[in-house]
Amino acid sequence: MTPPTATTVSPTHQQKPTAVSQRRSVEAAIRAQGVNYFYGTGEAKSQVLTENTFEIGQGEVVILTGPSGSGKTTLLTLIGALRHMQEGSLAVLGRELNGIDNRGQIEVRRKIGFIFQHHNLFSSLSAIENVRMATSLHPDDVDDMNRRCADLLTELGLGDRLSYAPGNLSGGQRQRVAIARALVNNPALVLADEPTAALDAHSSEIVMKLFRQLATGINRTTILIVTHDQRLLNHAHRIVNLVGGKVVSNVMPELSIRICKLLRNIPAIQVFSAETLSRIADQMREEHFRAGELIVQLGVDKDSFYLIADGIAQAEEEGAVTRELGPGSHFFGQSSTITFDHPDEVIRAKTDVTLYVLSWESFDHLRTNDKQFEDRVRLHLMSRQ
Amino acid sequence: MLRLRRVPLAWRNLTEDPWRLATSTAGASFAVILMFSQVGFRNALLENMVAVIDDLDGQLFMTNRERYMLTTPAAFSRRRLEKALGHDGVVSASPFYVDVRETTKWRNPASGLGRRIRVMAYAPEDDLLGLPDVRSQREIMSRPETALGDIRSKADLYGEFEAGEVSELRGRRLRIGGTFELGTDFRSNGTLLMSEDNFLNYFPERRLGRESDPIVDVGVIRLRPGAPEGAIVEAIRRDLPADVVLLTKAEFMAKERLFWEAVAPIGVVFDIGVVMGFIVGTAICYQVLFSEISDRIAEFATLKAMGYSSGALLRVIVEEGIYLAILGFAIGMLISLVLARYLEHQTGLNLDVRPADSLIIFALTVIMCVLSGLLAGRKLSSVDPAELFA
Repeated sequence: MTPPTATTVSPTHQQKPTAVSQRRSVEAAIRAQGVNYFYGTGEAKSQVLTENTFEIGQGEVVILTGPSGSGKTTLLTLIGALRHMQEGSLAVLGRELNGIDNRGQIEVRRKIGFIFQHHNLFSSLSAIENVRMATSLHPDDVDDMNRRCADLLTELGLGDRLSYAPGNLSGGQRQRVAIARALVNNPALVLADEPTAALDAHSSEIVMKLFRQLATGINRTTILIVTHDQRLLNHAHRIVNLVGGKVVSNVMPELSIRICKLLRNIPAIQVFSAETLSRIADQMREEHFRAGELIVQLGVDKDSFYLIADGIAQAEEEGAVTRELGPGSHFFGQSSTITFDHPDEVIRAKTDVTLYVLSWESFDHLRTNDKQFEDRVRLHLMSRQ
Repeated sequence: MLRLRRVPLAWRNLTEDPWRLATSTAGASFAVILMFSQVGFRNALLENMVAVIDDLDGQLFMTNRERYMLTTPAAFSRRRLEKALGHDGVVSASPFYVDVRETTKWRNPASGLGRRIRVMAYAPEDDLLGLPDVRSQREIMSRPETALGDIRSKADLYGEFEAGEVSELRGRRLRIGGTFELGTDFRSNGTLLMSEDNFLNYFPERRLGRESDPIVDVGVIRLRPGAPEGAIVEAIRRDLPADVVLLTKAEFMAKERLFWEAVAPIGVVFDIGVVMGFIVGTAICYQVLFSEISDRIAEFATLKAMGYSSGALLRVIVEEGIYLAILGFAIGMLISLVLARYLEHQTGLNLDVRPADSLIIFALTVIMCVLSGLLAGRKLSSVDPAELFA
């Protein structure tokens, strides 16, 4: 049951799911709760991950970004079961990694495709044999394994290089072999570290297309990419930003852009920069109301700002409908404190309604920290620190 | 296209760099050659020491109880041997003489120096040595002051034995009537073979003062084909006094081997040599495989990240060790065979390596390389796949 009134989202509770951070699917591929990680012991002990709580759903293409030393690599290696968990809970592909034994780690790793920045191909093996090293973990008919490897390498533009040793391939070709090795078993999760760093624009596009196919395919593969390559932004379902060992934003850029576009239609908000708009979007929670349900009584509940995403709501004053509110430029709630319009209305869902809700504290905090639009939003999502 | 279910990573890694492969194989081969040489010499010691016994054409052998090896100067009365003749199933009982004492010297016709030599003798008509080139020269053997010379005797000590050559044995004239091929051992560098009559002339002390009762070294007893050897042995033994023993050929050879292998104990020295070869080989292979892991640490880390277990990684290194063992053994054995032929030519020793010994050395080589792989493989536990993302 959805709450009948809006819920406050404080900027200090950024890791509570907001509209742009909710996972897209029912099943979580990665679920992190209070993940802490430390290096060293005693006085040399330093914390690299701090209280990280987030979820990534199946079939999502996620870009993990952040400055150097922010803990991206540590987080990636924890998710990949390449390290042992210390504090908190981290469930990957339905398996809790805290307290998992070595055998369990191996089982989790076998469901993951790893792509390393330094491709780490086996120099003694040919391109197809490198990919076959992955299929050997899930042995099948030899012809079938060879066919799958050859098909994938061909798709990646290496059909005429199957028997080439890595030493006879260019950097980009080697990276594509490494990508094929990671993807050949149709893994449930792909962890990629700068997978397109050595690739030209065309190859990057092919690789990202493959990632999207896997994510939307029958296995709904989750792709988690650590990258600074802005060419990949258009392909990401979600962008997770890590700063100082903590997830500072976890947003779905398409949804963020949609909210920003809706916000931009609001005259009182148009004055904000794209960065502020995206920050506002990040802080909004998605809420659902059934037809006839009371959303807010403006004279009583004045702590939130509501933006209609879908459906029709109606404003009532003394039992009479005074106006209808639909998606686009319609908002209500604490905005009245900005516009001082309709201070005593009751807002009710006329049809099933989806709202993006922002608490006043969040709104005010973001507004005071304002420093424009769609183009800048994506860049901003990548470079925020 | 690869036709195997598993990618032969170990073989590919081992053979990727031909130069590295050559040096690695050379290391393993070196250990194999060391082991082959020790086993070869050990066999040469043991087999050459029993070669004469093996060549003696008889089923039972009588010796002085105190004779712990063939060349020990411990003879017994011929009468003892004649007693055996009375037993049912015994066809013949022939005396065999062997003398390798310090006083038994052959003068090298070229240098004029007297050198100790082994002299063996029997009645030519008895055909005690089952060597074809000896049987065909029975008449020559029978000639007075004549002997057959072993062409595998060390020429630098005795000169080349050739028919017609005349020199001296124990200061008395002796003519080489012909040659045969037997080989040396660790007690003798050359052999002269003569008739019983000639022997007793050159070694008159063996006559014991009576023409009919010389003292003999080995009594060679032949049995009727199909005769019950066990029963005959028991019967003769019951009849014999305590100063002599009756042995089957297998027992006689085993006694001789035991002396050299355990009592002497020269066999142990060569066994230690084999162990040293094994240790040296293990050290070499360990270094080769350890370098292999160090140079491919990122590749092994990648395997670990992909979901290969530490055990699977260790299998790759152990497989490499096994391939190294096979290559090292094949090349080492080839070189050893060439060396053996050369040494045989140089020393007169029979350095044959039996198939069983080859199998043992192969097994030792595999164990050596697998052990090296397991030791070097400990480094794999330090492989951290998380570092691949660093």
